Amino acid sequence: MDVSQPGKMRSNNRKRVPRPGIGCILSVFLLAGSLFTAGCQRASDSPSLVSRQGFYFDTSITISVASDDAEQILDDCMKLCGEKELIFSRTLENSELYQVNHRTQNTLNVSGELAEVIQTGISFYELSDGMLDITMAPVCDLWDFKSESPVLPPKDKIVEALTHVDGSAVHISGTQLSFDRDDIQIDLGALAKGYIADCLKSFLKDQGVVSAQINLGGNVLLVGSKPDGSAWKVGIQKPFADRGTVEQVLEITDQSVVSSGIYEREFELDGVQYYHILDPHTGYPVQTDLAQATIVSDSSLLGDAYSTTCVLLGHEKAKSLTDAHQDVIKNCILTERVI
Amino acid sequence: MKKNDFMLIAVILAVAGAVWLFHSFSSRQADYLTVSVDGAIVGEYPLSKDLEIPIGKGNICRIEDHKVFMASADCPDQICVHHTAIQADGETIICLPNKVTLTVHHTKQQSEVDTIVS
Repeated sequence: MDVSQPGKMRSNNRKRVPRPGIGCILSVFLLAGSLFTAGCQRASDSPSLVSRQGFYFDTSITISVASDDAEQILDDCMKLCGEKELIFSRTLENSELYQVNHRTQNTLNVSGELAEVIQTGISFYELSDGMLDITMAPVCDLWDFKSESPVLPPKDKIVEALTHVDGSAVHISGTQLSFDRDDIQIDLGALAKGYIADCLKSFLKDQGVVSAQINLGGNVLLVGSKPDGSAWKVGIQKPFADRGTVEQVLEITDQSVVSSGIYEREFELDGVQYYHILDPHTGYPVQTDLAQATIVSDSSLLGDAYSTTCVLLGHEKAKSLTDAHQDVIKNCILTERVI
Repeated sequence: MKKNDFMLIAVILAVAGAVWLFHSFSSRQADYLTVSVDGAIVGEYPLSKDLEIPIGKGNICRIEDHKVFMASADCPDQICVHHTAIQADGETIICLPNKVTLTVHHTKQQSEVDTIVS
């Protein structure tokens, strides 16, 4: 359409030329040319993006791939997500993590993948002075941020649950995982999505895909640039605004963008706002002056871990943490909370 | 000869006009909404006509003025209902509890962003 329109206009102009013979010849060329370019465009275009959506890890995921083999590759991506769920899910009874949490002995061998993510969890427990704690599951379970009529968990239950939280009681050496206590459970919700996004990306690269977009429940990981060669435009959700409201747009190539914030899952009760980022020392939403932390990095696993850690630490400590790790953190956007 | 020239120009213009009309017509037809439940597409609707679409038992979405929004949902979090209306290519509204996805396909109106991190 774009090509035939100017053709028509020019032919109109030609009508005013006193020698219609030339006008006629030109028209033929223009028409032939427009048809030719239309054909060319279709032929030379690199494959456009094909998207697939699925529901895994208690969230929605969207993967878009530019490839002649897109459908097959997307099938395999979804299969891969299902396989990872069987490692990292805390609720699926046949998952590896479920077996770990319902263990009969405190020293056990785990898969390399589970070991890697738990190792990252332990590193960030140390890095954050115990604020990012992968053993918070008993407390998290008490909070329901999705309910239509949310209620506060009873204080005594929180206090009791906190006695089963101790990030320092988990150790890993190679693939050998050990616990100091029987009652400690692991939840990798803050890390697994990032890790799985990284897995999807390396799978796509192995398949020869040079342009793809992975969105795992709001974690974004990009492969290369857009099919037309330009950078991907990643919008950052504006905290507390309607979903889909973009605060800022980043131009990203081949990197991960992860945001964490106190607006994702939250409710208000008696004028107090409660959100899902909990303080492992109190069992209540963490006191923080950050509404949102966005991390751009190569690794989505680390982006996931750093963004949550930043919100947990608050602006000042988050700033020094991200300044100290600029080798990993390519860009960091900290949005302060408006109180 | 001169008369034939004009005839030829007229024919070419007519053909070009027809191609143009066909293209613009087909592209207008190509602006549509897909509704999917648990990853499977359950319906496609043109954006050109205002419409209320019940999805499964719990969700109702509406097309109004070439925009799409979730008018109501029985999910507890109501995130989809509070999502801004979508209209550009590739924009989505997702109701996670009911696994409902609304996606806009638009030939001309490109989204300001390719994806949203949240």
